Amino acid sequence: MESVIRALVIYVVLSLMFRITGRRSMSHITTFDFVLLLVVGEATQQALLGEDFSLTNGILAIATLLGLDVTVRWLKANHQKTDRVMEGLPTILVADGQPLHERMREARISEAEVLQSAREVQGLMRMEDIQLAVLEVSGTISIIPRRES
Amino acid sequence: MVSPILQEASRLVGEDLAFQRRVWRFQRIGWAVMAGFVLLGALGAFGGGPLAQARLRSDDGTVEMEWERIERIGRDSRLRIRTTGPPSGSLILRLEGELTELALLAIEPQPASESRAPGRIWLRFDPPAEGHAAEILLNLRSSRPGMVEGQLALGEAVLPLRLFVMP
Repeated sequence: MESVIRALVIYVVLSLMFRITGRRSMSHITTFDFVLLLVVGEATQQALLGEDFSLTNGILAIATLLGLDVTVRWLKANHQKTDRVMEGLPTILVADGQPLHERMREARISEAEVLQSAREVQGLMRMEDIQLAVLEVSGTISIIPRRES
Repeated sequence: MVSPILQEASRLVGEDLAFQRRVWRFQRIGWAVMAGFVLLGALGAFGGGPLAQARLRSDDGTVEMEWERIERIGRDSRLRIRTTGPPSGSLILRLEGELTELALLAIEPQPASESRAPGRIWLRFDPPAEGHAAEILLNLRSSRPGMVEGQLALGEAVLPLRLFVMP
């Protein structure tokens, strides 16, 4: 019982904390982000298992976490509102070559990051060449190049 | 004024800026809450800091006690009991109530004898050197969260002790 409650609390708290800290795509994590994730895992381990390092307790904690994850995924797939709340929605950062500064500031994305994505994804060098830059729910920035008329 | 290009793109992408702004506001509030949590933790609101420290003197002024009123499961907490002057007679410390449910991990100095009864622990110590005040240190650890209430008695002095154990 205690293991299940521990796993439930950890899942809810971690989901909430990562939601608060914002979007960050796995493909864009820095070395420090990676180290931070390892440290978070290490700090979570003790809280998850307590002083019971038995195989049964470990399996129970893993089963609870995976079970919760499956439940949340089902909820997100079947309830659009839950999906919106938990994942957020895409946000347009650049439209017709014009950076939308207020949105970028609120989303904590700099012009340099948009241009980096433009170079990586589409080989574009200038803001004017971008028709649309969208901050996706995954944390990546999609770039749609301006079509030559 | 939103440009028609942006309006059209917003519709195609499935953007809801009003909702997204609420999410950003929620995040900003969340950062403030997290910062507050860290600050309170640093100050000892969850044990192990100045906010958790408590001190009490018995009504007759002969015994003084220092302890951590907020504690966490699995963490040792130190209880310091001292007499304000040289103790008269034998030094018998009685722990009563839920205090007896805490694990006594270390006792300094070593008690000359120790006995237990349901809801009560007696620890008898050798008196300190002539003319010196006595000091007893106990390391406590709780295995369950919640409020722990009990009392501690040394000679005639009785001190209520209450501590909250965080999960």
